[in-house]
Amino acid sequence: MKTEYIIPLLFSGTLALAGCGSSDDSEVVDTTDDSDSSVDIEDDDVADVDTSYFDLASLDSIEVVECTLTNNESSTCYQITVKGFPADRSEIGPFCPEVITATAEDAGKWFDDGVLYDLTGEFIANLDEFYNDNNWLLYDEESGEVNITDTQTSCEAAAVVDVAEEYHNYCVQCDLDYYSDVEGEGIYSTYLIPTTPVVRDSAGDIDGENVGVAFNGVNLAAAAPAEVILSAYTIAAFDDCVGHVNPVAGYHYHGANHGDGDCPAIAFESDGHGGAFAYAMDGFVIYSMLDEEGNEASDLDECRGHTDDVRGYHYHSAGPGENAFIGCFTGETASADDDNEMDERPGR
Amino acid sequence: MNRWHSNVCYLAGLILVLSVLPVAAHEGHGDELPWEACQALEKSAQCAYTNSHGDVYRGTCRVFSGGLMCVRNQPIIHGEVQQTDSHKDYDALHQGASESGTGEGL
Repeated sequence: MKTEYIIPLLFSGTLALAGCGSSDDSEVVDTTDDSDSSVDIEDDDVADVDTSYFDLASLDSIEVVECTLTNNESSTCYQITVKGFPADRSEIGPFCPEVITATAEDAGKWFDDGVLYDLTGEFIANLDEFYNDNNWLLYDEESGEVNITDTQTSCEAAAVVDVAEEYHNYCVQCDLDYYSDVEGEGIYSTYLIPTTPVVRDSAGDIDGENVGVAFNGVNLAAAAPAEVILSAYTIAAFDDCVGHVNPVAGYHYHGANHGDGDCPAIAFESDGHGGAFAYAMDGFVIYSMLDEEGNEASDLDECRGHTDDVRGYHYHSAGPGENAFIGCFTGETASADDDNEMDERPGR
Repeated sequence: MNRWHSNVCYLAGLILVLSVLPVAAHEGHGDELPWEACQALEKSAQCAYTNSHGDVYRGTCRVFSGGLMCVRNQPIIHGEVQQTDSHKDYDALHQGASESGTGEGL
């Protein structure tokens, strides 16, 4: 029987259930006003994809290929193969704290309801209080050591949909070395991005698809199935870049948190605008959430995009704890033509 | 018919998934608010939720993995911490939470 990992679960639609059964008293503001999802962007506001944004060390190859867009029109795309390891770092992690006295410096992150938390030992020790559920106990009460999936077998057992009870109450982390024999490389993956974005008539769903690829070669993944992870009393720890490893996608991001802890900063634009860090799968650039003054744009559309005179149409990432980068695709995404089959080379 | 059951009917195609994931939906664990905010809404509807810090997130319901999640597109409105339960109590006592990220620039 084929093992179901959490990432494939994203494609199954399970997250539709994630809002059920809350015991949280936080206010939910209910509104029924529909917004206009039509897209109105001038041609002059659409810039060609610039592959020079990518860190060369992150790349295996870039080539231009024929592709078919989601509107069924033929086009050209960049076929970009990345090595699956962040080119701006020498190592990833830390993820799980080893003991309940560990500080933020020796631990990663976890998010909940829009907030990114330091996954300190103290946080682990207080999960029962945090989630108001006494079944949480992720550490040995005598030694203070945190239960960590520190083998390939245990990490893969805890990264499935139906986690066996013996792996409940674990902080889950997988070593990228399990999936690559080459230091500084991860799971190779290939992205197909239109050479010039084509604006859709109405915004396209991200659903369970990849959101994009960072210029350092890391996958921007769709929303993490936090509800499923938590239901097994596990924490799928992130590092300071809101990234973690699973057996299918390798190292991937679920948020943007540049400049915090071990996560490298990115440069602001010369005019103080947020910095660019990724291409979305439709070929529009994703910039950081805040500008140099710490402000966020107030005119973002439902995809979290807007237009300015310098950059044309572009996106701004959501906050690091929001389990999302953008809300949807303003442009058409691409699929490979038959003779350009997408390539994925785990562990090469 | 309550909102949850309406949603289940709407997502009838997910019954198979439900059958293999009996614990996923009703345990009352975290990270629910962005999904809960869109439970009774249509795609592209405006949505909002207030998190445990009292901060208001306003955005639009968008499709992720077959469900609707409220994706913020307005700046966070920071509010007073309204501590009533679970991680709200935790947040009041402990440090290390960030809604908007931190440093950027070189």
